[in-house]
Amino acid sequence: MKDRSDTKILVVDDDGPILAALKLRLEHAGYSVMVARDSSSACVQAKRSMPDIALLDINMPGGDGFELARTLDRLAPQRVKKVFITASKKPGLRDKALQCGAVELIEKPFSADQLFDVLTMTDMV
Amino acid sequence: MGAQAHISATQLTDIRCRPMSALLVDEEAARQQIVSAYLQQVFDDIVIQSAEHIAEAFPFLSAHRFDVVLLRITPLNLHLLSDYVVTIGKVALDEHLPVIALSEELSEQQLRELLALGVADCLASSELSEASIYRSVRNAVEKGQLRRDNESKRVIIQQNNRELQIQKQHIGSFYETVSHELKSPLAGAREYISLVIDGVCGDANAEQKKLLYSALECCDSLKDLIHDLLDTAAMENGMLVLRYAPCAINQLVRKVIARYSPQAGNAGLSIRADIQCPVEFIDCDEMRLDQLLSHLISNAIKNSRANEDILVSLALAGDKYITLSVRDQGRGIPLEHQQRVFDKFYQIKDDTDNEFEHLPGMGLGLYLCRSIACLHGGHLGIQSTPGEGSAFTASIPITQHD
Repeated sequence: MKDRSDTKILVVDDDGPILAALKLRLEHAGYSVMVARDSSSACVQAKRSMPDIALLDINMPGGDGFELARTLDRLAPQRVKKVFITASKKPGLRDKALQCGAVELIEKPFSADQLFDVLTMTDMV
Repeated sequence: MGAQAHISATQLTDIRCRPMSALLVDEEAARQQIVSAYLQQVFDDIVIQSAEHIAEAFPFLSAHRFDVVLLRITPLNLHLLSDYVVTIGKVALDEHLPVIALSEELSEQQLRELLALGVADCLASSELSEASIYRSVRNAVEKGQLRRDNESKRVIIQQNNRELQIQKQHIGSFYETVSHELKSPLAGAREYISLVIDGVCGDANAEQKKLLYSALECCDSLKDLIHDLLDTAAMENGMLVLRYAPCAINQLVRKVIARYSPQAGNAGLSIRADIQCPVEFIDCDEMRLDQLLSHLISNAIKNSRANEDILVSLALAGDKYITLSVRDQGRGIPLEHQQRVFDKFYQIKDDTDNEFEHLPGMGLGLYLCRSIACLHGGHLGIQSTPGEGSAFTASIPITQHD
């Protein structure tokens, strides 16, 4: 089994408490974690060190998660695996996420099991 | 749609109040005079404008509001009549301006065709008389008036429709925002509780974990309530759309039962399954059917007391439907409440039985369950005897195309 510390996850969410909780959760599970609260600082982080997985919120001021996913694809084609995370129930969001090349879309609130199932699966893709 | 379509009610009255105004297009001066004389005989205060041919008539049409056009048409240019009518409609201030053709004798067939093409009436030279002109003009003007009335009503309806659509979108995006804003902090709360349970900041003892699990359950019920509210809003706005796909129905029922068995077990209940459906796949929205069954089972758990059984059965009904039924041995629902339990926000309040007052929920679950069954082209019904229990049975069509 792959060592989780080899997997770099970039978490982007404008919701501070969720971002901090996710960082705590993922670091505790052994992943290398980078966090950003908006698209532009996410890009700065990614350029410095390209992540393996991007865990992206969809609704964010100053550029949504889909846009950010496309930017990451441009910066490093076929490099970053994307997982979207959203509190929205808008119909068609899952299809849009999958079209954007996402491995999965997680709905908030999520459980730790759900999160790790998706991340383990994403790591194996 | 041209600006002329927007005729207000006051404009319509204006048309009725002013003297009648006719445009007569005929190259033959003698016949022009005869027709004008007839018109003046039968209509008081009629204003008649004459033109020799259609091109000469256009400036009048675009400058004055007429009530009727009488257009002489020869057998040679009869085939152009419908084009003339269209052009007159475009040039005239009133797009519904009626056109009466003054022609030679026409066959029944020709007459029918011309009327179908939008000509208000055809008068043959041989039938020209005061009476025929009066009848024809009056009918044409009234018909034009009706068309204008219809058109203005259609415009109003269209306008209302557009406003309703916009309102619907606003309501939709309001619920979307509310959902997002409620669920985001809820997700935070749930995650922090779960971090403590998982020992991320040191081990919690068993007693502490038990309390934290209760907090998690509260978060999850709140999430379910938000989703029920959202679904209700979507349902009411016609935005709850099913996504049909073949669904392994037996498997789905087993999966939902398995999901609720631990919860039932904790409450001292057992869920029995009676799955006897020979049909393997049905056309349905699996997620919605899962939601329906989950809700019925969760309701049954809430309505049961320890050591009771819940029976979930799946069977074929005839050759077109499956029936999915959840039966409990709980307190049952009094007859007077039985049909109303499917109403939105309906809560059973029974003064004689305080137990009912403490049932949790907003009263949306059964409303949504019935809506989901109905959207599939099925039904959800209740059978209940107070003191003996309730059975909710959904019938769902096996296929969605007949």
